[in-house]
Amino acid sequence: MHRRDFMHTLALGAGGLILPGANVWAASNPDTATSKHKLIVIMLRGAVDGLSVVAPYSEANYYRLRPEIAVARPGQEAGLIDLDGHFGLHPALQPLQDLWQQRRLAFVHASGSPDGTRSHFDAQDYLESGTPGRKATAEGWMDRLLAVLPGPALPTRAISIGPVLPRILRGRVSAINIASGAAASRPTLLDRPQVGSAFDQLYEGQDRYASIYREAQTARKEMMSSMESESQLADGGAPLPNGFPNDAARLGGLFRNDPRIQCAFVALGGWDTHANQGAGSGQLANRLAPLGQGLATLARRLGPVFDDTVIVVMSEFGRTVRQNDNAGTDHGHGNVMWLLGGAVAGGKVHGDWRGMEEANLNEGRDLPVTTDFRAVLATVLERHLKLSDKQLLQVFPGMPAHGFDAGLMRA
Amino acid sequence: MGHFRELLGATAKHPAMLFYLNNWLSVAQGDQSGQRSGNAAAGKAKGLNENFAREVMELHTLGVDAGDTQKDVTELARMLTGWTFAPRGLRADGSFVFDSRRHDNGDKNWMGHQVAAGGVSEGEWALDILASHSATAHHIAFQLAQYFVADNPAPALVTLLTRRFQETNGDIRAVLKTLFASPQFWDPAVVGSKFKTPYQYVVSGARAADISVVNVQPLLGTLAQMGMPLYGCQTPDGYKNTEAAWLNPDALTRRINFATALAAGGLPFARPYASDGSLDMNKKQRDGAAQPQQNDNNRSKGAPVDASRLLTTLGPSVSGWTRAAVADSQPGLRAALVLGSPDFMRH
Repeated sequence: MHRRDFMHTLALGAGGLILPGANVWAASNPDTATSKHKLIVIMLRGAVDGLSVVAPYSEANYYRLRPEIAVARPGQEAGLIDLDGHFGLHPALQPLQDLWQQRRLAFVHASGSPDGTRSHFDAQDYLESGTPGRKATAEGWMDRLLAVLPGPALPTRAISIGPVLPRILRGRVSAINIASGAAASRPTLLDRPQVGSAFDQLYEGQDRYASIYREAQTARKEMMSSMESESQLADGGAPLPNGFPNDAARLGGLFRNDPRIQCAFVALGGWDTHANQGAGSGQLANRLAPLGQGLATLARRLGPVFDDTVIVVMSEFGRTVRQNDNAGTDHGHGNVMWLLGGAVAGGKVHGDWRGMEEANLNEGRDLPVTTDFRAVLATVLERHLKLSDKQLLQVFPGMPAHGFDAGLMRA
Repeated sequence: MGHFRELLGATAKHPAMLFYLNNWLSVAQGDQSGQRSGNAAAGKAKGLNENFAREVMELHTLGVDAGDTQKDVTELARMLTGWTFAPRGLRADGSFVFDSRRHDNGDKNWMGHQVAAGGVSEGEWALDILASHSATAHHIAFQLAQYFVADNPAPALVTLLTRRFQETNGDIRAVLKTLFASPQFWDPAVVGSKFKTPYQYVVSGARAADISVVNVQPLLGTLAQMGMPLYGCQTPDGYKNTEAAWLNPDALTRRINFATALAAGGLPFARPYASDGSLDMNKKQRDGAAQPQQNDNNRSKGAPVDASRLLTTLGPSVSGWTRAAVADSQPGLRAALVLGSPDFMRH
C-alpha cells in the first residue's frame, strides 16, 4: 500500500473513532471523513512587514538599518518575545506564545513569490492565482484545490469571510461567501418565507439552473442554521461585533459544528505601513494585536479540530529592510509565512535565512525569496490534504520541483 | 469596424495598454537611457519586460496553445523595446512614442524568422505576422462564435469564420456578416442559450424594468458583489462570457436577491450621486450593492415594477412555465419572479 493511501485509510478510521455522534450526518456518511483535514488561509493584503513579525534580533544590522522601527530585544520594554535565540516574535502577538511553546506554530522566513513585482495588485493576484508572473490564469488556486480534493464536492465545503468571493476561490467549484461581522446572519430577501417559496416553485424544474438553485438554498439554510446555533452557543444570541477576533471565533465554531466545511479564506487589510510604522507599539502593533488575538481564538474555538487543521498566514510581499525617511517601510520582496495547527512542525523558524548583510539582500534592499510560497503550500497540501504529485501540479501548474520542505509538517 | 490588423496596432500603441502590460517599462538589457533622460517613468525601467509580448501572442492573436515558446516571447519583447508613450498630455490616439534609445538593436530570431535591427518597424512587422497567422484567424473566429452563438460553438462554424477571416485579410465586418447569416447562428437549439454575464444581467434588468437611473451605485455595487466590477477585471484576457465562468449557487442567489429588490422598487436609483471623496472604487462599488435593509431613504426609491408591462416587454422570451408560476404567485412578487426567472438569466 502506498504511504499516502495508508495515511488516508488511517485518517478515515480515526475520524470514525474519535468523533462518534458529533454529527449524525457525518457519522452516517463515510465520505465526509475525507474532509477531516482542514485548511484555513489568512491573507494580509497590503504587505505586512515580516521583519517586525519575526525579527532577527541577534543581528546588529536589524537595529542599524531600522533605528526607529526595530522592535526592542527580548527583555526590554515593549521588546520581542524570544523564539529561538536568534528570532523574536512581535510583542503584539503575545496571544500566540502558547501555541509556539506547544509546537503548533511555525514560520517560514524569507519566503514569498518568485515574481519581482512590487505592485500590490499584481502580487496579490499571483498569490491568489498561484501562478506568479502569469496574469491570465482564470481561477484561484483554492478553487483548483477544491476541484482535486477527494470526497464529494459539497457546496459548503469552502467558505470565505468578506464582502465578495475572493479571487483565490473564484472558478469552477462553488464556495460560500459570508459577510464579515454581524452582517453575516442578516437575512436576504430570498430568506423571507414568501419570497423563498415563490422562487422554490419557479425553480422546481429539472434543468441545471434549478439544480443549482436548490444547491444554493440548501447551502444557505445549512450555513444560516450553523451560524445560528454557533452564535447561540457562544454568545447567548447577542449580535456579534465586527473585527477579526469575532470573525475568527465564528469561523472556528462553524468548522467545529459542521464537519462538511473543509477550507476557508479570510483577508485582512491595513498592512501598508509606509509611514510611522511604530515598533513594539504603534500602528503596526495595533494591527497585529487583533490578528494574534483572533488566531488564538480560532485555535481555541476549533478545539479538537485544530489538530487536523493547518492555518496559513501569508502576504503578497515583504517590506524594505531599511526604514524610509518617514519611519515606515516600502514595498520589498521576501516575507515570512506563518503556519499554525496540530499537523505543523511547530516551535521552529523554517526557511533558508541568509542574514541582513547587504550582499545577501535582493537588489541590495529587500529580503530575498529563498522559499517559493508555492513550495510551502504544496507541502501542506501534500502532507496534510494528501494530494498526489499530479494533483499538486493541477493546483500549482508550472511549480518548480525543488524547494519542497517535508520538514515543515510533523512526520 | 475594420481590419483586425488596425485594431491590433491601435491597442498595441494605446497608452493604457502600454502602461497596463508594462511595455513602457521595457528597455534593452543594460540600457541606461532612463538615468540619462531623467524621465521618472524611464527611470523605473530596468530591463526587458515580457508582459505585453506574451499577452499579445497568447491573448490578442495566436491563442494560448499555438506553439509559441518562451524564446519567442523574449525575442518579441526585444523587438518591442522602445514602444512607449509620452506621459504629458495623454491622448487615446496620439501619445505613442517610439524611443529609439531604449530599443534593442541586436539581431533577433522570432517564430523561425531572422530579424535584423529595424527600430519601430520590427514591432510593426511582428504585428503584421501575428495578424495574418492562421492560428490568429482561428482564435478570433472562435472568440466571435463563442460571444455571439454558444459557449462551445460548432466546429463547422468556427472553420467557416476562420476561412472568411483569412479570405478577407481579417475584415471583422465581413466575418460578422458571415456569422449572422450562418445556419448555426439561427439554430433554435442555441438561440437564447447564453447565460448572461453579471453585467448583461444587471443592465438588462434595469432596462426591462424601465427604471430611470439617476444613481448608478446600486448597479455598480451589485456588479462588484457578483464578481464583475465595472472596469475592474483582474486579468488581461477580460471577463469571460461563458456559463462556466458565472453560473454558481452564490451567483444565482445574488441575482434573485437583486431581481427581488429591483422589482419592489427597493433600490435607491433616484438619489442623486454624492461622492464621499473616497478613491477606493471597489469599496464604493460594494457599498452601493443591493442591501434593502440599509436603504432607508424612501424618497429615493422607485415604484414597484408592473409585472404585466414587464411580461409584454419581454414577450416570447418568457416561457410558459415561468408565466404559469408568475400567474400562480401573489401580485407583489410577480415582477420579481419574472426578473429572477431562469428565462431572464439567459439571452
